[in-house]
Amino acid sequence: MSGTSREDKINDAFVAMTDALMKDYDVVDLLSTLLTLCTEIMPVTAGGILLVDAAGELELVASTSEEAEVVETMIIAAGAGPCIDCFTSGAPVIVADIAETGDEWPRFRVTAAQQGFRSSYALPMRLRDEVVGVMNLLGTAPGELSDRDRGIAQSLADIAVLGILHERNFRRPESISEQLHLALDTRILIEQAKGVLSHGQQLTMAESFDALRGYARAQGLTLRSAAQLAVRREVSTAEIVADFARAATTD
Amino acid sequence: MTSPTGMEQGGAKLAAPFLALLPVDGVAISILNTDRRAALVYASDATATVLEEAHFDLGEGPVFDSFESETAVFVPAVAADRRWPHFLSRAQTANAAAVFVFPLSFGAACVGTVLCYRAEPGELSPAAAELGMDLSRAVAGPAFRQAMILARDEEPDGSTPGELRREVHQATGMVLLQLDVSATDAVARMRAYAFSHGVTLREVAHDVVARRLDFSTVND
Repeated sequence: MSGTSREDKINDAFVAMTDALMKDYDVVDLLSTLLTLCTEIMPVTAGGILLVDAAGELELVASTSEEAEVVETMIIAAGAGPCIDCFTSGAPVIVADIAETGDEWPRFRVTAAQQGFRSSYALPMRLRDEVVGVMNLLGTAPGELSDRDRGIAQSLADIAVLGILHERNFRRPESISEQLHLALDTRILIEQAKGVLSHGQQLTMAESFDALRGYARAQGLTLRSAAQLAVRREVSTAEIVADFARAATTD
Repeated sequence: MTSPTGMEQGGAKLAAPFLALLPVDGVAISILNTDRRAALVYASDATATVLEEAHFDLGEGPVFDSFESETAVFVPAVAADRRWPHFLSRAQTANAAAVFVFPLSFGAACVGTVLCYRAEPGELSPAAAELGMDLSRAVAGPAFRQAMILARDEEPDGSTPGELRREVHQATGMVLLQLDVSATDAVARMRAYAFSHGVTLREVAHDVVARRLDFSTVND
């Protein structure tokens, strides 16, 4: 990676995204990378991408952290918070100071405050005229994103949609929803795998995710494939966490 | 039809893409237990209901095969098929000339089926078959939630927080390891436990994830 200036980071990120789209990649992994990138180039510390399921509800598919607290904040925002408002209106929902939201979303306000989040930016993820999901970014300081940052964030949200669509070649309009459903189902498989690893190796759910991702990368597998191997017991939990455990002890 | 009015809209919404995008005349969505008891989540017409219920009257049919194998089972020509004589005879009487059944799975757990029928016989194209599999994957979670509501295992207004949904999946992973069974069986065992203890599946999942409940020590 070249210099550490913000512009360099943005450039590197777009190059990395393009590279990823050129070959086999895992949708959940790609979305997580996109979100992490946001936290590196903008004044935000956490992010999540939610997609709409067949029942019209938003499900969290990827986030910068698998820690329960971050996940919980995102999911609450999807139930009654900026994310669901963004989804239904199709417009960005910018909350410069969560503490000032009054009675609007009480549970979101309390949970976000507990986690130290003061600002929230929910951006619609669109495919043509339909809103298929929301990218939500959270900051620990109050304030609005600059116009430039908001533009970059929206571009990254648009790239996220392309990333979801592009996972397999698609030939017909219905395939668009197929890709969305696959992303949602991949997340479910990942959660099931986290359960297997958590119980099998006495790890937290967040550690289980890291172990699974580490194994997938080391083996050149998608997260989905690795999760399937874990849930079907085709690979032992010990084998999956082997690299993770080794890395932990050598740190 | 067994689904109460409040649920019909939700069920119709799940069935709509099958009717719109596949060359079929009717759809029945069901959540099954491993002991072959079922909750019919939604049926789009009387014929779909008859086809679904025939399975439970007769103890045979493509829905059971699909659920147990966790794969799609197609009957492009009811009149010429020999696999389930009693069921096929009932299907003919109901004027279903072709039946296509897709498994409902979320992640690695199979929880039910989507039965589609058509008054005209004929194969499903590979593209349509693939689309049917995708649609089934899409509605599995929502259909399961509807069935839980119908069984009064869940709050009907969807007030169960979304974060607890992840716990059901995580608990599935933990329980499958604790019992050394498949994900499908793990879900079934958790549901059975919830039913016999008068608690919701969510509560069971929450206790499993919090490590207060370990199925390897349960004597049910």
